[in-house]
Amino acid sequence: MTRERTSGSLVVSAAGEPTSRGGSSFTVRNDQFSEVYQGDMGTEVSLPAGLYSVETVAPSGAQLSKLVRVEPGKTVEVALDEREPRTRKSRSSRSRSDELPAPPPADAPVSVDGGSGWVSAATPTGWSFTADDRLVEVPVVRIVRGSSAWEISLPINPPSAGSAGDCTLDLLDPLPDESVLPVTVGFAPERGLVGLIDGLLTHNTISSDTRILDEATDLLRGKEGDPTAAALGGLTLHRLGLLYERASWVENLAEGYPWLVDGRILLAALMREDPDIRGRMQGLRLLLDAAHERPLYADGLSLALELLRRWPDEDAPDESRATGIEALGTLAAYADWSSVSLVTRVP
Amino acid sequence: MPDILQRAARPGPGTHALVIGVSDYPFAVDPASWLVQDGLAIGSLSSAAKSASDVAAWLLAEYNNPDAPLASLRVLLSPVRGERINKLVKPLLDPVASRATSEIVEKEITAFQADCKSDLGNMVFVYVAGHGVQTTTRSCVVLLNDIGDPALPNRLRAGLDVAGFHAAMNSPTNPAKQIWFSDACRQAPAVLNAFVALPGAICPDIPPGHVDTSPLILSASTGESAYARARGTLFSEALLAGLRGAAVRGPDDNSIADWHVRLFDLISWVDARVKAVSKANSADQSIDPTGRVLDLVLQRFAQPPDVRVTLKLSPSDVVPVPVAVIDRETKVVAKFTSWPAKGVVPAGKYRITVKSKPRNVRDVDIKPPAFALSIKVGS
Repeated sequence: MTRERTSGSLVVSAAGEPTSRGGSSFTVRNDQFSEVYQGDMGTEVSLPAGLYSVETVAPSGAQLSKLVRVEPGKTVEVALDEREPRTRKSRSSRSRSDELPAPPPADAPVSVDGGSGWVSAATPTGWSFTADDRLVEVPVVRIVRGSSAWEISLPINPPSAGSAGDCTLDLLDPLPDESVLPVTVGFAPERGLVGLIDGLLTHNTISSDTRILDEATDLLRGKEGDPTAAALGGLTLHRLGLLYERASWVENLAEGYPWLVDGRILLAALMREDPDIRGRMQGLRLLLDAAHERPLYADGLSLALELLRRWPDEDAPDESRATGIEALGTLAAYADWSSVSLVTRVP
Repeated sequence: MPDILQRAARPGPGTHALVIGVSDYPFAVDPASWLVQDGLAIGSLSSAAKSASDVAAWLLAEYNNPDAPLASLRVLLSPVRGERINKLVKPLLDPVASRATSEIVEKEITAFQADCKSDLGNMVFVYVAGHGVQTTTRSCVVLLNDIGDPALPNRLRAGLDVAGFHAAMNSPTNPAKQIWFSDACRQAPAVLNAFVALPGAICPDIPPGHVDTSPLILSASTGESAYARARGTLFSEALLAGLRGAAVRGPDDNSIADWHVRLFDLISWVDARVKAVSKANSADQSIDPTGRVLDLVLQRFAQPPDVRVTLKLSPSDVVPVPVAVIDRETKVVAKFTSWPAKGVVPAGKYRITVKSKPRNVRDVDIKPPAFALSIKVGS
């Protein structure tokens, strides 16, 4: 006769800043690596005594894991925290495989040199940007350093979107070689959701936890939301092939925020799948119209190009598609594909 | 024949696999080639074909999917002279028909698609390794053996548009379960800026719709190189280790009674491993999952996979020589009395107890292929 193992319990919390997003849920695996529980932080979980691992995704997007032993009749408390400093991918798009170590950075200062759709203020590490109240296109800022210049699409929301919408450009420290973009895009602290999506993309943890993307896009069902976060969430869901099942909000994004061209590109991507050719042709017209505007995200530009290249209908006018590809190709030729926001070098 | 399985068709669903590896690029040094004339400096690779042959060998000898056993295995390789192709695969290759040229790849893709469509319950498995380029964050073109051949009608004629091929198969007339791997660099050469539409690259027609699950795992993120060493590409090493059990999990209640490897666990393992090994070699590489990324079971095990365990003491000459046990809930699975201690243990979480003074206790994850631990003993 087998005697059942006696139980104990486990309470998991996230150390550091409490947050409603990222690190808010956890998974427990048993001594055979099988998943035995998934739930929210703070819940007391009853488990047979034994060895387990507790796993979560931190607010930065990093994956955290800890081994824990559940003792009979006892409650064990586990705090999951991120010990390692947060790291970001290099923003250089060049291979390092055959390069000599970079030369010491030049002293040329970095400056903001115009753009549209925003108001800026200096910060200790760079600049913060707030959107004009009435946006008609994706806000763009031009950054200059020495003989190099870049245009950066800014992920900011107009005040009328009803939620926080600022972003920052932070200078890299130390400054890189003059040919490399000297800033990174950051988000105001109250925009935790879009910052978390950015972190998940950086850490590659997004494919196994799409709840954050759902949260970003769900916000658009109401009147208040973060449309630029939703667009990034939507593009990522599309990239993971998961947008089809979550399509209802995309129309809100495309129609409610017409300046945000990525929303129209996403809607066209969904209309491409319409079984009725009339729906698909309507989607193509929407896409061709969007192809003459600058997207907010590099992935929005990629998606638009891929859709134009691969539109399924032979009846689709080749000439119009070629014109659309040509228009976007001008941006694509100078795009830094390693950036999340669209960054184009000024030739 | 490129199908090295050469097995008569069986009733019921099966796994159809296509494995392509290109290391040899003869036109990269041909002065008449656009590669040379336009300065797209690609040299031959050292281990792309070997890595592909290792993946093919794993499929041939170890792949275990009771729902869809291996039904066909097309292997197209263009190794460089002296490249060590897997011994299990090498004798099965045809010196002409198994080369990864554009003509052969195009022909085999058509045959592969027909095989896949023979039963919607089939499983699709694709692995492609070689030089790669991208023109957007969503494109991925792997260069075939004859890229740059002046006789070809356009530049990318000998390029396999992997993202496009994947999109073409991700439609409802194809098997619902697919897994794709592209093991190639993802840099955007300036010389291709004018070719954003990728004219000529091999890509079947792409109908609307999608299948249940069809992830395409790219071995490098946008703008990154995919690195290799003599024993294979970093990605293929991590992928095979993961499939052999490094990403294993035990039976799941109500779903799978076997030990198995799931896609999401494999993605986590391969990404962490590729990042760690590239970082240790002063480089950056991280994988990029795309396609239709829904979880699926990729490999099953009849029993927990074995792990080679090595335990060392620090200092190594401690007296008296302590005994160590590895146990799970008081059930001892290994006992060691001499050091360094070596043994084989089934994968799992265990407690290691070294009966030294003071007693040393560690809870550990023991996962394939090997586990090593140095234990500090004494005061």
